[in-house]
Amino acid sequence: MRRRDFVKLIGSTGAATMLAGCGSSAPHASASSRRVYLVAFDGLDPRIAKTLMDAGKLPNFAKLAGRGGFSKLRTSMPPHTPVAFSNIVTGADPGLHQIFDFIHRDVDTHDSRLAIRPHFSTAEVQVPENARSLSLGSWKLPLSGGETMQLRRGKPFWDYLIERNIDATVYYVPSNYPTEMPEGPGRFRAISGMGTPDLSGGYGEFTLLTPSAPRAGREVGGGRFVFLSMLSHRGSAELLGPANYLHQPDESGRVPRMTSRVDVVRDPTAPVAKISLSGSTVVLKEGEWSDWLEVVFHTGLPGSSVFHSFGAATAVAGTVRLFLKQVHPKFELYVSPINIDPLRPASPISVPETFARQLAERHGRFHTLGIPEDTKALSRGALSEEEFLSQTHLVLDERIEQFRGALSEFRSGCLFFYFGDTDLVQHMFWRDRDPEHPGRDPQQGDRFAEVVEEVYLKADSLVGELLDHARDDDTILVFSDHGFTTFRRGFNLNTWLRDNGFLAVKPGSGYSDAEMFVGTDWAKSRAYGLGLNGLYLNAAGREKHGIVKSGERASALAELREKLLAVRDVDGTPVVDRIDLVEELYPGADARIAPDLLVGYNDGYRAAWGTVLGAMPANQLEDNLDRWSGDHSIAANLVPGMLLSNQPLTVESPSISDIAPTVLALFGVARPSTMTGRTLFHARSTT
Amino acid sequence: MDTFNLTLTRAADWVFGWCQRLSPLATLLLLSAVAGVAMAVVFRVSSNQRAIKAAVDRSRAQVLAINLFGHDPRAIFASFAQLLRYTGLRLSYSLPPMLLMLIPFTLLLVQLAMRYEHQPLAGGESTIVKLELAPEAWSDHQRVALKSSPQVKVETPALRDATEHAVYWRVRPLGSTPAVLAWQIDGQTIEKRLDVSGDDVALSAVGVRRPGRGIVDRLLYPAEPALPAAGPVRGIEVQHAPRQTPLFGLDVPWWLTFVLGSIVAALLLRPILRVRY
Repeated sequence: MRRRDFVKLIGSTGAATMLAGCGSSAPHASASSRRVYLVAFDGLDPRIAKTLMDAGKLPNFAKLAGRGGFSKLRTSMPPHTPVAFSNIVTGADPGLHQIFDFIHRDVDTHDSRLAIRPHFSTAEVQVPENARSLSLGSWKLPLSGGETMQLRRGKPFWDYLIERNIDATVYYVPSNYPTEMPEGPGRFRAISGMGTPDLSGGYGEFTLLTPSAPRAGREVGGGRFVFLSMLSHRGSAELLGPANYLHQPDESGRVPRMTSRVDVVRDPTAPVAKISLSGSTVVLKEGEWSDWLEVVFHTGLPGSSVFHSFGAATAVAGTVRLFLKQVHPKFELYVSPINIDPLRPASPISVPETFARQLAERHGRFHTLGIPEDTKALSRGALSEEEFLSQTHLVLDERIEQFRGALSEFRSGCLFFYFGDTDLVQHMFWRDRDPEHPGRDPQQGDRFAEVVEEVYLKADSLVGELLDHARDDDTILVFSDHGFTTFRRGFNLNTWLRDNGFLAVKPGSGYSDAEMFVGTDWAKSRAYGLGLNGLYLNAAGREKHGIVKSGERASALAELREKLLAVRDVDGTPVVDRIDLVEELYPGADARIAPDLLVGYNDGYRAAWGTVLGAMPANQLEDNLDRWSGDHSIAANLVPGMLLSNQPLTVESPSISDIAPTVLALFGVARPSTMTGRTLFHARSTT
Repeated sequence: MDTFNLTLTRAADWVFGWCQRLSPLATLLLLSAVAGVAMAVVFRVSSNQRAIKAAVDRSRAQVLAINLFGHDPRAIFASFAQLLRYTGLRLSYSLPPMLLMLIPFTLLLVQLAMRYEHQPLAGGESTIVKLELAPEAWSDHQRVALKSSPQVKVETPALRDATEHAVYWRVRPLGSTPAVLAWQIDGQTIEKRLDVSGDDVALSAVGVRRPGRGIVDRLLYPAEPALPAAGPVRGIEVQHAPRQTPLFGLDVPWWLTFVLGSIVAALLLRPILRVRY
């Protein structure tokens, strides 16, 4: 017996004794050898799952439900993945972890052009105010660096396990970038998931090299189209990388971005091409994906290449996969967002730092971007439906390999594995199963009608592998963070606020798709919408140009609530199902972070795309014609998640916040006071 | 030349066979130490050690003079001039042994490069094959075909690059043992070895290129015999991943490790070998 195992055995005696006294269903295994599997499939909807189970199409789900239980799982409000997973890992709600949306805003922005600065809610690079650098002409050598901060507050449940010498391994759990190393004798390993940026620090930007792009290129949300023409069947283009961190900003305050050259040669007639990138060369057939390729961006500092080969930070490397869309007559090459290389991570994507490299050495390089399935490329036409699906299969294949590896090496403790393809495929292919969706393409008909169902079948097969691997005394929880529904109509919240006198614009400012509240007269505006469900008062003393005084707050909120609940679509359908007052729903919410109201849209409705970053288009309601046609950012009660367990569920109406205290109870750890969730299996509760 | 290359490669295989229990880095350090000692011995034997000693002594005397007559600029300049002269003399005395060692050292580096520069393909790992044609043969032979075999799957159609007069394919070895690629050109079979190994740790010679008839090409790529002189093919290359031999966690190129190891060994053993540089 190794020393670690011996210590665990001794340390677990107390916990095991406690569990033994809890009732007849006390576990056979001691806490030190217990195994708890948490497998999350983002966005699996209980209604679809139930229908498919009843039809006999999800035999493993049915088997698991037969052993323990199947239930809807109450989700967070708003029911977004970053919010829901923050609930799941902290066992609490946004009042503790302070994640309320994908997007939050900074009201203390020093940028004079902005009244508020939107930012990603879960992580941000923070540069210290006293950051120093050495200027040498056009070069700037930083003497102190920024730090990526995780903005989720509250202790995740695995911290308590590690403190008590119980191992935990966490794969791709959202809102967990950068992962923090818990203190304690247990072994902890984690690879970060949704929220992990690309090499440039964003959510990922594709590049499509095509002769159809303008010569100067064309930026679109989530990527760019770059001009590439072939001369004598050869061509080259530049791939845009991160900002050049050793370069001074230009006159407009922008730091130039680094580039890396792509060279292509195609056969004069055959559908095959050779692509060279940063010293790597691949030969691809039309319709093929490349393996991972390293792409290096040099700062241009003299001697950069030589210094970089010895490990100096004069260049930065990431990885991409290429997809050869077409060779003749038009040459078109898709380049994936630049992922952080797990073999040489430029940012902390795992804990310990070596874990990402170990995974890559064992299973090959893999997608590290938080949302690797490139939905933007599909929405913008850079990838077709079939091409997007082939990309999701690549991602899923990688994850399945790692899942199998994780199962095979799992000995004790908690294994938490997250799959995200279930969510993104439903987002992109919901319209194909909704005959009334306005975005349906009549030419495609029902070609992709089965795609959503197929991800459920795949999830079922993975649960089957888990069941084959697990012992009888292991605990298995398979769950989703929220359900899904159709997204037919978009509501332009800021347009509605403007039309109803809550948001004022300067004279001459018309309705516009321009984001960031262009033309807004903040001195006369009382409220604004930001993110998918957030509605904020322009509060005096809080917002930069706030005007709503504390004495006016309650009436303003009541007026907003009343009027929004009265909004009807042209056919009389209510657009909003519920409005939650954040200070009532989440008393612990930080007023400088949280919205004042959460807009719970009705089934079929959602915030229109322009609302998320402050646009005011002409129409309050619009058909959703985007490929992104399914959603869940509505009233939480309309899109519950689902839960499968191999032990009988003994609580009424389980919630996602119940998962963390349940895991702790299974290991004999008392529920911390910060956790508001309950334990799902009463017999094993220790509280 | 082919026979010479073959003999040398077999000899190197024999040496590396003795070191197969060591890691590639340990083998490299051991060989660099042996090479350092050998070079020191050759240096001692083939150089004028007495003249070198005299030049060293006189250089020291000039350094001493600079220290003693630091107040006299004329004396300092004169001593600097003498110091430069004796340093140049020392370098000139080093030239004969360096010339003597140039060819063996180059051959040794080529043999080391064949094992340390690249690693063999893993079974199932795809790679790119490039067949270079003589410019005058391009129009007649650009449609040269490479077919799949039980050992190797050809995954793409031929990609013809008229600018480079080269044809490319992506191939995938199906097993974990060396395979052979073959082309039929003008009634002749042209072959290229595909180095595949199931063991990515052990060192083995990797033939990244089957050379043409050029002497430099054949010197640098001795793993396989040169291509027929009269044929249209000028060279065949296979893309292999570079082999990493990190030193203290740093990504130091193998040749730098070798050179540094040789120098350190030669300097450390100088008193024992009684050699002056």
